[in-house]
Amino acid sequence: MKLYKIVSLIALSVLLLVIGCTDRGVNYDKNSYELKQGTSFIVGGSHAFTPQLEFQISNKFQQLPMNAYLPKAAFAIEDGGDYQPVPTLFLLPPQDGDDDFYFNHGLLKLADELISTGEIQPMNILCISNDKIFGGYFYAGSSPAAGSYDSLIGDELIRWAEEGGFFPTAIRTKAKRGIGGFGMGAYGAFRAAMLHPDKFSSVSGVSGPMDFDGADGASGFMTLFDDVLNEQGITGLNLPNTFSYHDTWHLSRLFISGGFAFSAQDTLFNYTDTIVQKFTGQVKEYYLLSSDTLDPISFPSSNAISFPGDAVPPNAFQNDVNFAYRFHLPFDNVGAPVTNVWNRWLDNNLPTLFAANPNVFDEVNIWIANSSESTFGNYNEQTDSWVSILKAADVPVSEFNLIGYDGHPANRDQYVYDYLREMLIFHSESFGN
Amino acid sequence: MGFSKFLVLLLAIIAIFSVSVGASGFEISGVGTKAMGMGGAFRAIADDWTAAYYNPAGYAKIFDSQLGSSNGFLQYRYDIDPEYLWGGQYESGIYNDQVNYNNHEILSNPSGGFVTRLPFFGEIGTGLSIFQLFDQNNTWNLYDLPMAYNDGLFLPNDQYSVNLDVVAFQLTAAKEFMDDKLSLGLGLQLLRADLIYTNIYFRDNPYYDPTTNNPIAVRPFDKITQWNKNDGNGYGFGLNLGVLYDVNEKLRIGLNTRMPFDITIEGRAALEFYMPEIPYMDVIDAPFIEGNKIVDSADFEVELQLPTSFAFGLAYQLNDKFLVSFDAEYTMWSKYEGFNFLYTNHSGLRGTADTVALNNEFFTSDVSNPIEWENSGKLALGLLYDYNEYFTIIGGGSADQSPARLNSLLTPQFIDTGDKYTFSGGFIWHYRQYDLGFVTSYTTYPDLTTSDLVDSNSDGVFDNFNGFYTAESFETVFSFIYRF
Repeated sequence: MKLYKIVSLIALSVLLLVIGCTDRGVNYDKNSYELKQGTSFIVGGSHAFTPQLEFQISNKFQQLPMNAYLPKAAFAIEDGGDYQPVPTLFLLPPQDGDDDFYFNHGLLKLADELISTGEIQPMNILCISNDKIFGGYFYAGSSPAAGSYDSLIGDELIRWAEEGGFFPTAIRTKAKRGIGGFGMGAYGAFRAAMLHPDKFSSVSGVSGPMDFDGADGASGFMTLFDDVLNEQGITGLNLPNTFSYHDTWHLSRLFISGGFAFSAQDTLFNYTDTIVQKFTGQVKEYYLLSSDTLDPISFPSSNAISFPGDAVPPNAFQNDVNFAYRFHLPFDNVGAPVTNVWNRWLDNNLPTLFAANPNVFDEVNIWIANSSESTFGNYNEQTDSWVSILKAADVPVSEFNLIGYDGHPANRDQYVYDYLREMLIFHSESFGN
Repeated sequence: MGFSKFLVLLLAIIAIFSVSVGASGFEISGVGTKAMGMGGAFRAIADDWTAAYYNPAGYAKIFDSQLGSSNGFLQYRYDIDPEYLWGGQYESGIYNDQVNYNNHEILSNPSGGFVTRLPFFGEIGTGLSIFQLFDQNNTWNLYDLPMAYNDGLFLPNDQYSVNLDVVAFQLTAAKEFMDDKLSLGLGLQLLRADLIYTNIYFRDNPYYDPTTNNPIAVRPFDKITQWNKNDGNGYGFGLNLGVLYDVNEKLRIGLNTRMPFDITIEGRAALEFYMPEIPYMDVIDAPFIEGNKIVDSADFEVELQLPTSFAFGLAYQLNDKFLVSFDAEYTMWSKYEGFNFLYTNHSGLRGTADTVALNNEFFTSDVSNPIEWENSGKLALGLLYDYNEYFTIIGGGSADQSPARLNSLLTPQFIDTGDKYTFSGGFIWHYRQYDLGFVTSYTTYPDLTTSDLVDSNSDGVFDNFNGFYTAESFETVFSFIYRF
């Protein structure tokens, strides 16, 4: 063997030694972006919405609890010396959800992360509370007892947030404003978008009560009431004496919240402008009177449920009113529809509102997420039906679906975190540049 | 073609096409430059102190005294591009969709021994040697807590790591029989095992209930991140038996079996739980929402199951300069079932983490890291060329069958992507009574993609680590032998 071959072999061996000892480093970078992109600000208890919540049950102070995400970009001075204007997203929680709902599912850090990575643009996010006493009010405003949400969400809340100085750099245009929600909040978001077509350019919803009677007009909530009665173990019993809102009876609470929203015993304001001195302030007198335009013959009296009016607003002389809030269930004690009550629900059904204004989504981006596992309230079926109706009307819908993984089905609120990520990205893209 | 050439050709073909027969696992690649340079095909040669490892019978044929040592320097260059998502879809915090390297480390594998002849039973070759039988060492940083889970805590850098050493202190004796044609050798081993093992366990949140929608256990809080570091050691025994038979002046056969007995490793473990931070839930002393790191420590015990191996070797002296050798080894890796850590004497838990039964049960649970391996083979071919009286050139290769070939329970600690090929070469410089050796080797692994998370023992924790794996390793060995 020639010497050069030996030298070559040795050189090759040394080369392998060198290659084998080189450091490739690490290519992950945990801190490649600045993590903190905004802050949360709890507004709860700080602002009363009058008259929208004037007579809302269990809300003596007329306040809407709120929690907000404020991006730091909104407080960064741009070259011209002005703050950076940012869009605003309003998020409505599902049944039983409060203003911390989205934050307890990671909203703050998720927004930080997505802004850091450039996946979303900086945006204000305002999360309001749903009622936690009776399971919510569907964000609907047909009864003062439940709160005038139609006026609240579509008008006063926006005005307060944008013009009242809470979001000082919010861009006050439809194009830069979005609304979304989960479950009951999805219903509320679409309702607000349709009743206030000049306010929101993007609307999103995840598995909610978006078609009360289902695709066939005979499903949705209509096939659900037996489960409600079973939940309380009162099938066939007299409803007023037994129907309850225990916080573990979620389906029952769903119908109570709908009852307040859609089929409350009619309530009327009786306002007198008498100024009276009460303690150190001047107080106007309000009276909340009840009446009922529902034909008592056409629905069984057993369908009306009362809750004591212990939460009449402080400005009213409640002792004089002694008012008990009453509402009507849309089904009787064997689950059969009570037609004129149920019709009130259907008047508030999203397809009904859409039919009244079929062009309402002409300049609105829509994102709807659903899961076949989201069976609560037949929400999955109702959501699919709503999507079908929109598509049939040639309304573009961005769809997103999750089913979960083994042992962790995507039912109810299990995957809010994952939905929320996509929802934020959708709204950010809808806001444009 | 003469018999010699035919034999060389046959051995080469067998070695090249032998992947279906092929020992891997965490057995060391070898000891000494001569053996390593010849691809490990050394059982029928066994003519220096490293015979203690390859074939103790070789000590019967070492007629001088030797003092030797070698040190291998290894670098495992592994890559993982993880695909570690719950249900194949949901973020886990693992660094998915990027190529991650194991931490840069140059590992050393020292060994040494001496051989001499003693006038017992006529005359026997005896020696005392120290070498590693098994070694596994790599460290990974593959995970960060998802921001929404908790952005205030960080795990240590040795998230997934193993540092396992099984060192044999072997007393060897060998004697010739049948007019010196047959040699028998016996090695009695005292084994010392040292283990440092870290791992991340994604545990199901004990408060998860799909029917109640408990907000402290929904995504991304459905899995609790647990990091364990187990540091302990243990002692055991092993046997190393060898046979050498000279068929004729040119051909020699070697047989060898190594029987290490299981070792119970005991030590202390740190159990760290990186808890979710859910800041808007106002509950006092609630470990599952407050975002703290819960630290427990405990004594641990784990059984290290070590495989028996059987090996056969041939060595043929082609002429006065060329020597060719061939080894086949079969290792009973199916015996090894991973680690099942049993914890006792917990200390460190405070408050409701300790006093609430459900919490205490969660924080004090045993953990396991199961592995399902198959028995596997290894073929090796070696060549030696005596260039002159000062210089010997050596080369070789081996094909190792993967014990993990039939399943996808691959973890970052035990990278075994499939059947491997090793190529090695180097030289030995003979100077007076000294032999100085230098060998480098390169091992190539097949790429491997694993796609399904598997909970093989149904304890609620996934036992593998999905992703796209690539791997290679380099080893350089220096040695000296002093003959006297």
